[in-house]
Amino acid sequence: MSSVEINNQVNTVTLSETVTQVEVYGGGVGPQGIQGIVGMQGTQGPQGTTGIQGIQGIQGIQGLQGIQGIQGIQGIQGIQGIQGPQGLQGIQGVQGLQGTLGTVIASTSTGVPTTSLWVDTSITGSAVVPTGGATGQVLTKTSSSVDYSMAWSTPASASGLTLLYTSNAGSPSTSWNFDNIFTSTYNYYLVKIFYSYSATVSGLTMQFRSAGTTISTAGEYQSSQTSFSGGSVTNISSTSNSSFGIAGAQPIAGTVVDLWVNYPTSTSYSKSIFSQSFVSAYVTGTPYLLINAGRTTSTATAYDGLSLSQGSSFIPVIKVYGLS
Amino acid sequence: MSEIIGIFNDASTGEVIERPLTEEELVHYNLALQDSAKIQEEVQKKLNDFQSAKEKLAKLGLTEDEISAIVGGI
Repeated sequence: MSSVEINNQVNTVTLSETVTQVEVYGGGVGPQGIQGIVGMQGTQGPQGTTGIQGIQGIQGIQGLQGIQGIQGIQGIQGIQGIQGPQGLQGIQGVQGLQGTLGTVIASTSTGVPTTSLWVDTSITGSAVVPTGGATGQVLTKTSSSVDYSMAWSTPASASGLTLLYTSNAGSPSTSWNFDNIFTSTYNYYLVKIFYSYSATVSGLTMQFRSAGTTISTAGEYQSSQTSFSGGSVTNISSTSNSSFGIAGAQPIAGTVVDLWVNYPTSTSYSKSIFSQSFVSAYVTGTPYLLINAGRTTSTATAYDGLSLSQGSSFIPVIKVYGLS
Repeated sequence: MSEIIGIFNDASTGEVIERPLTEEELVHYNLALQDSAKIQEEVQKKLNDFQSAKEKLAKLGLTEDEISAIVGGI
């Protein structure tokens, strides 16, 4: 028998293990039994009220140093400092190298003691050219009988024709345009048009240009044209043309057209032209002289260039002269 | 119409540009050629009239010198 419990007199027997023998005795109250074994733990009771705050603990020990932070942004530049005092004078430089040997000027007269002279090139001598002068002035002889006599003077104003522009030959074309050949510097221009090549088919016409645009307004070009050919004189006047005819048909290489242009950049006057050309191989092979005088009807537009046109290709080399 | 190549010279810079004419430039160009053709046509008609007149005068019995004295020429 391992264990037997008997609770009072109740006939209740609890067997924990196999009971081999049970004895039940009747009678009075028996002696108090031995204390039972501790019961099983009960369920947890409700939480008690919060206790009073404990006293502050002692300060903890200092922590380890943290890692270094990232670099801050650069501050603004400070104001410029005041100028420092002047430095001390530098020490004297070393002596320069010895100069080149001077030129000995010897006497050439017999019996005259030779006197040696030295040319000191470190000294600036008297200038041969007069001092002063102004831009554009020239040296002028001041006395025909005195050597080296000269002075600065202003040359006389240029007069006559001044070559302003010469074009390049280039490749054959039927349309040639020349811009910025007329300026306000001159009122009168001579344009020499030299044919270095021509397919000799049609006549030459001229139109003015302004700021890169050709002017072909109907009636802008009024002209009276006279031609001499084959023993006849032909006069043609026109008030409705869009161009000036300045050379007859079939101008061959070597033909030269003289074209005078007056007041091309004026905004007050009409622009007049005068041209003459001599073509040695007209349609019939007869010499052909063409003279043309004309003017533009408009006055307000300034012209700075011209356009030359033919129905066949040609190469004009032009020279532009200004007349003072 | 076929493309027309124009030569453009700038005297102030020395620049030379070779390029096709624009439509606007073609209009200017064609107007110039029309003027040229019209003038040549008129000149040629006057030359023909002149020659015809000389021939008619010759048929009337005038000599070359007499005709030149009247109408000029060589």
